Amino acid sequence: MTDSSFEEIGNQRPAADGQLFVRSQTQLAVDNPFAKGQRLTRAQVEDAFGVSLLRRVEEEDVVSLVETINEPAKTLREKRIQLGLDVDQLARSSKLPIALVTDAETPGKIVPIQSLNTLCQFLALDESVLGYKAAAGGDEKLGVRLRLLSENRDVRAFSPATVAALAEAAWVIAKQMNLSGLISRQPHSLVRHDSRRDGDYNYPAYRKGYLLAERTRKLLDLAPDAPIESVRVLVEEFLRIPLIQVTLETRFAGATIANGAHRGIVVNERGRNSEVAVRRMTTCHELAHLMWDPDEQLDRLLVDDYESIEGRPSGADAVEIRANSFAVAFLAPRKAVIDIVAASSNLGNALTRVCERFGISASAARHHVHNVCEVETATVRMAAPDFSPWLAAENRTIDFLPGLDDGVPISRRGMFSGIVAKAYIAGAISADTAAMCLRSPTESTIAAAPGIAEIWGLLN
Amino acid sequence: MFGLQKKDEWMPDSFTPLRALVGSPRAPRMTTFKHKDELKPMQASDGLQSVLEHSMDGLPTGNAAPQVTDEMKKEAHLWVVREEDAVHAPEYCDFGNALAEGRIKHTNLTGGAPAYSGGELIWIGDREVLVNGCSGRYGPTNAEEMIAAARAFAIAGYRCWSTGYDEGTGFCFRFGASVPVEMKRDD
Repeated sequence: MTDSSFEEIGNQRPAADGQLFVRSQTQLAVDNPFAKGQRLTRAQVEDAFGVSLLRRVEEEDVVSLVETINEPAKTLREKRIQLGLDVDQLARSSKLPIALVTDAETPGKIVPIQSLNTLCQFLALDESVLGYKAAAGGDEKLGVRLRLLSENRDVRAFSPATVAALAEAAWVIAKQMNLSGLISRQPHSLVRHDSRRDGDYNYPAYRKGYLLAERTRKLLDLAPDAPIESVRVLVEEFLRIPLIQVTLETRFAGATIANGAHRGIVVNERGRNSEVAVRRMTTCHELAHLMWDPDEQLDRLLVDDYESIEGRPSGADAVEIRANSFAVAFLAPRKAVIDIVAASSNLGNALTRVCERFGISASAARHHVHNVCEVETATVRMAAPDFSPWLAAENRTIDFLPGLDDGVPISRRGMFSGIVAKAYIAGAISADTAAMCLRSPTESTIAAAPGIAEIWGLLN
Repeated sequence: MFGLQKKDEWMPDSFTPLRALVGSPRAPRMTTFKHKDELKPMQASDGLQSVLEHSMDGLPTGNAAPQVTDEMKKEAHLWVVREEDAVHAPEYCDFGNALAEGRIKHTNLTGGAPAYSGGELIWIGDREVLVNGCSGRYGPTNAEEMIAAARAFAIAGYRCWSTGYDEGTGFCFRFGASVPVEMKRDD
């Protein structure tokens, strides 16, 4: 072999920049046209597996990711059981065949990585390290709380489908925060992991909620009597909190979920949340939990039904009472409400005015005016408020995702979609990963990414 | 026990069906090429051995797939199917120790010449072998080739286990990344 042929051979080494890798159930390899697995960027590989493994792949073309052939089957099975789901329920929620779920839990059976990724999403597991890290980075406390939801013997028990949907929401929350980190989009300082919390629920909890609402408005530089034009924009775009919409049984209103170090809000699009004013209240109620409840109260998962949010919380639950009074006073500041009532010719007009000015429901307005003005409101006749001006700003998440079809789950249609698109455009994640996140075909995800990033103001 | 089988002239062997499947021998893929001595041809005196052919008598039996340990991986050989024979040699040996990487590459088994297939193997016993197709230079490019390669070992008179081909990565499974499957000569 001559020196010139040596050079010729040596020059076949691929360039490192922009290089893709591909992973399967148990292996990671340099990208090649024969591979059917999930493409990953260099940054993703480095983030999930570290630099030394990345170098080994470059050196050896393909490396094993699993320490034992029992993985990832063991992790998947244990997490499903921890969540209290049976194989059929998981298959239904993930829309995968039962046989495939069974195979995925059988050591040594090889399943397409795309299917494993889907299962991880409904088990709140970090698919990027599945099989490589113990329990795939799953949050054990969250898993236990989710299972308890379905094991409750009282009326607050939720179905396995709800448990799986909440696990999926927890996955979206963690993924959104991870991707936000990759594109240097940090959450607002008020809602970071180490931000302010207040564990004081002493009587009267409702008054504590008012004070926290007023303090929060000050921290956010909101004028004392100004309405909040869009709670969705405040939460998703200003505070940068994951806000996940889900379609669940109608009595479920919302939840605050901590998955690992990440917190997010889940709101049901069904039930009374289909009314924009109720949805605003639900989101603010969860915002109270997220911003002010210490970890031990949040306990990884706080699920609220409509009774908790619009009516009286069950028993004397100080945590819920405080969140309720926070929500209504945050949306409709006490002094502004008192001023409206004082300036109105009759109480019915005042109630309608409070509803329309602050975007809160009629029942919430009745309670609130009763509490802050100390007047009887239950029997007062009032005109139906017009909430149509609130719809556009609050609804974009549900209604609008250009370039992708209806197959994209509602849980992925919020700011999450914009962050996914931005991460892909920035080269932080592969097209396969973006497609996995939006549950869309890779080609249409590539085509839609700039448009989605643009509507969320993330194109540049 | 696995000494070089001297052949004075080419004759069909157990690897002929694999060669027919692949068609022409392929030049080595050199994307990870680093050092000139990766092309230094290894000789029988350096530890290069041919895959010997046996009758079917006395094949080991039993149901359990071999469990691969780290110790076994350290003793792994590289194998290559060349134009006229199939050869193997320990990855870590005196010859490899003298090379820049401290171990042999598949191109040391061929001197950089084209070949039909290649991979790694672990001897479970004298007549029982676990093979994979992990050769960046000559490895199988699809499942069919991996099956044909493993079957060739079975035809040669070995109880042969194969790690198989990973459709996900487009490479064969490394030892420990899959449950080995027994490959029969008639499969």
